[in-house]
Amino acid sequence: MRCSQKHGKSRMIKFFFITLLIWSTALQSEPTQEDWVKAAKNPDYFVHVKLSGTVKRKIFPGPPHFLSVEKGDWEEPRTILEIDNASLARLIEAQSSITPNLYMGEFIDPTFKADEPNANLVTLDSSFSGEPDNIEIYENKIVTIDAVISAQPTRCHTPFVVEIVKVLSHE
Amino acid sequence: MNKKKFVRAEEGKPPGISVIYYDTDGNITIRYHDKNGKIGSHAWRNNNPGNLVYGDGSHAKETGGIGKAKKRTVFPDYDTGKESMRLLLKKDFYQKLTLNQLPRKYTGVKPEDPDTKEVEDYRRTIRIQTKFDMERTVKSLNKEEYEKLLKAMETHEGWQEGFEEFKEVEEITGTRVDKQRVISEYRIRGAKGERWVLKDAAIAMHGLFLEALQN
Repeated sequence: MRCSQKHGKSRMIKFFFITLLIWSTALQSEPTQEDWVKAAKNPDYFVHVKLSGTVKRKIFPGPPHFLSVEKGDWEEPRTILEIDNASLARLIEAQSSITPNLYMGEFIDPTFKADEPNANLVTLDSSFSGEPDNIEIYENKIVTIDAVISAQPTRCHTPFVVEIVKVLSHE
Repeated sequence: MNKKKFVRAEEGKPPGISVIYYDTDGNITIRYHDKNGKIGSHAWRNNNPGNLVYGDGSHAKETGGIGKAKKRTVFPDYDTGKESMRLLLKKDFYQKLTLNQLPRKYTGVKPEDPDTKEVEDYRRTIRIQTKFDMERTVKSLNKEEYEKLLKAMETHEGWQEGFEEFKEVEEITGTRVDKQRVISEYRIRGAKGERWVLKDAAIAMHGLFLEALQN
C-alpha cells in the first residue's frame, strides 16, 4: 500500500515537471537571429515572455532619497505595464530561468509573493528592436505583448524590467 | 573600539527607510533616513555613491555588494561602492556614450522620450564640475578625468550623512537555575566584560534590541 502510494506520488511529480516543461517551452519561443545578435552583447536577451496588462505612466522618486517627489526627490517618469497574475507567474518563471541561483532566492518568494511591493508593475524599457515602440499610445488600455527580459538599468524602480518585442493584441 | 568589517546588510522596517549592517562579530549598525534631526541620503545609507541598482545581483556580487535595500545594492563601505560604480561605467554601453548622453542612459530615460528635468540637472552638474566638452565620450576620458566625472555624478546622486547607530550583540555564556531547575539568571558577555542578569531583565533587553531593529 505504502509502496503504491509512493509510486503514485512519484508519477505525479514526474507529470508535474513534464507539464511545467511543456508550459514553459510553449511560452518561451526559440531565439531568433535578432536574439543572437543582441545576446552577443547581453546574454539575458534570450528569454521571451508573453505579458498582459494595462499600460500606465508613473512617476517614481529618484535621488537623493528615492522616497518622495513632493519632498524634493527628482522625478523619474516611466512607462509601466500593470500585469495580471498569470503574467506575473510567467515572468517570474522566465526571470528565474536566467538567474536561477540569484533571483528566486533573493527577489521573489517562490509562492509569488514578492518581497517588494508592486511586483506586478513592470517597467517597459527601450524597445527590443531599438526603434521607438510607441507603447504610450496604449496608455490606460489593456495590451498583450511579447517581451524579453531586460538587464536592469542603473535606475530601476520595479522588480522586473522588460523590452517590448511586439504588441500582440490591444483593446 | 575598532569598527569591524560589515559582511551582510538588509533593509530595516519599514522597507527602505533604514539599512541594517551586520559585522563579523554579529554586531549591528543601523543607518537611518531621518532620525535625531539628521537626514541620510539613500547613497549614504547603502554605501552606494552611484545608487547602483541590485538587479539580478550579478554586478553587485562581483563587486563586493553585501545586500540590497530598496532595490539598490548595499556595499560594506564607501570605497567598495565607488569601485563598483567605476567598474559599471567601464562597460561598453556606457563607454560609448557622450557626456550629454550619459545622464539619459544612467537615469533610465527611453531613447524616444524627452529629457527629464533630472537629466538636465545631471548634465549641468557634470558640465560645471568637470568643465569637460560634453560631446566627449566616456571612453575618451583619461584616469584623472574619469574620476572627476564620477565625483560629479556622485554629487547629483546625493551623498548626505545621517544618523548612524551601533548596537553591540551580547552573548549568553552561562545560566543559573533556581531550586525548581528553572533558569533564573543569564551570564552575558559584552564589550565591558561579563555580568549576571536576571532572566526578566535579559528578556526585556532582548525585546528592546529586536524593537530597535524594527525602526
